[in-house]
Amino acid sequence: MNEKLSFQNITDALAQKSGVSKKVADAFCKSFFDTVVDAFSQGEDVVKVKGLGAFKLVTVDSRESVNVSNGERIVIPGYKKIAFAPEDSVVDFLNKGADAEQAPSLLESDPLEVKSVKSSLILTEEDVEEKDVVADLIQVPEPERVETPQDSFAGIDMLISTPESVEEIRQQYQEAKAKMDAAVEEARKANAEKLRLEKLLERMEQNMEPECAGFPVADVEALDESEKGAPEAETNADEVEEKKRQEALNRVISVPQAIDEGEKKEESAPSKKSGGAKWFWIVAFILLLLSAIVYFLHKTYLSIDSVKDVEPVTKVESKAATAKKTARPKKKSVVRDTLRANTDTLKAVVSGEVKADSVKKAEPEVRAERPATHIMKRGETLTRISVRYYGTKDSVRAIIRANKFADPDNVHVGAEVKLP
Amino acid sequence: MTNKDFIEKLSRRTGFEKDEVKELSASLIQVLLGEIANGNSVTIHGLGVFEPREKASRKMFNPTSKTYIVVPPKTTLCYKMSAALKDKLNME
Repeated sequence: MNEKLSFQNITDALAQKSGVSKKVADAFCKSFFDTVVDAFSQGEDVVKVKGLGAFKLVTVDSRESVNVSNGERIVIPGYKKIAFAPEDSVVDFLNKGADAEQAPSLLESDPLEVKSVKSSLILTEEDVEEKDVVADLIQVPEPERVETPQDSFAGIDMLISTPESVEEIRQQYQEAKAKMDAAVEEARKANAEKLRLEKLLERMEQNMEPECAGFPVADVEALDESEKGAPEAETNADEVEEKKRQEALNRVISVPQAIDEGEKKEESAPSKKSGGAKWFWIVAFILLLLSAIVYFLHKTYLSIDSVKDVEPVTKVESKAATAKKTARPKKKSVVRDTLRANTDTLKAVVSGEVKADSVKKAEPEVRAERPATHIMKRGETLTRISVRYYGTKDSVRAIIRANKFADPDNVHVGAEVKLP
Repeated sequence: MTNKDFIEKLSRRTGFEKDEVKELSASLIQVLLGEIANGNSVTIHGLGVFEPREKASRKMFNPTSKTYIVVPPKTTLCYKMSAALKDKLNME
C-alpha cells in the first residue's frame, strides 16, 4: 500500500505475467512510454491508449500574478502540459478493486510474509488475477468475498425457483393473455363493423341512383356533419334513409378509406354530389402537382447534374421550370466560385505560397505593424486590442497603466488608446 | 493519435507483430492498473507519475429536476507530467 514503484518493478511484473524475458519486457515498456512522449514531440495533440486513457496536450495561457513577498506584479509564462483522462473502465476497475484491495493488506499483516516491494508485487499480481476471474474470488479463503458473488446470483435464483414467484409469473401471464384476447376481439368487432358499414354504403349508393337528383339541402348538411365520427354515423344511418345518403357522402369526404369507394361514387352519384367528389379530386391533383414541383426544386438544389437532366415536361411544370431557371445561374456561379477557389488553393499548395502567405498575414497582425495609438471602434475591447497588437491578453494591464482611463471597463468609442 | 496508430508505431519500434504488441500492452496496462488499485504510485522516467487519487463524495445539483444528488466517493487514476517532459515540451 502506498508504495512508490519505479519502472523496474513494472517491467519485472510484466515479465512474470506474460512470460517474456526481463530484457524484452524492459525494452517493450521503454518503447511503450517513449512512443507516447515521441508522439507529442512530433506534434500530436492526443494520444489514446486503449485500456488506459487519453493523453492530451494542453496549452496553459500566460497569466499575471503577484509576488507574495514583495507585492510585485509578475507574469507567469504560459506553457504546454500533458493532461491525462483515464478511461471509464479504468475508474470502474479501480473502484471495484477497492473491495479486493483489502486482500493483500490482510495477507501482508501475516507474520510469515516479508514486507518488501517484491513480495507486494507478487501479491498484487495474484490480486489482479483474482479480480479478473470470479472463480478465483470464491477460492480466496475469506468469508466476505465468497458471499458477494453468491448474493448476486441468489437474487436470480429466488426469482426462478421460489413457488410464489412462479405463481406470480403465471398470473401475470394469464392477465396478459386475457388482455390480448380482449384486444383481438375488439379488433374483430371493429372489422365486422367496418364490413357492415361498407355494405350499407354500397346499398345506399344503389338506392340513391334513382332518387337523389334533388338533394341540394342534404349536401350542405352533409358538409356540416362531416366532422362526426364513424360510430355516430352508424346510429344515424339506422334512423332515416336520407341521412344514410348524407353520411355516405360524409364518408367519401372525410374518411381516407373512401378513396376506393369514391370511384364508385363518381359513377353512381348524381351530378351535384359527384361535384363534391370532383372538387376532392381536383384538390388532390393540385396537391400532387405541388409535391412534384417541390420535389423537382429539391432535386435541383441537391445536384447540378439533375438540373440538366430534369427538363420541363408539361405546361403546368413551367412554373417549376422558371423557378429552376432562377436557381440555375446562382448554382452555376457558386460552383464557378468554389471551383476557382479550389484551383487557386491547389496552385498555392503546389507552389508553397499558402504557408508563406499565412505566415506573412499572421505576423504583421501580431507584431510588425504596431502604431503608437489605436482608436477604439464599436465592439472592441482592450483585451482584443492587446491580443491583436501584442499576441497576448496579458498586456491589457500595461495598456491600462499607460492610458490612465477614467474607467478601464468602459472606454468610449473613438477614444485614443496609447499602445506602450 | 488513436489506439490503432499507437499500436502500429509501437510495433514498428519494437519489431513485434501487432497482435503481440496488443497483448503485451494490455498486460502492461493490467500490471500498471493492478499496482494503482493497490494504492501504489508508479513513476515512469521521462513520462511522469501515475497514482491513485481519492475523490471525496460531493453533492451535485441537477438543474432540470432541481434536486441534489450525492456522488459517492471514488478513486481515479491521476497522472502528473514529469519535469523532464515539461522541459522537453516547452523547449521551442
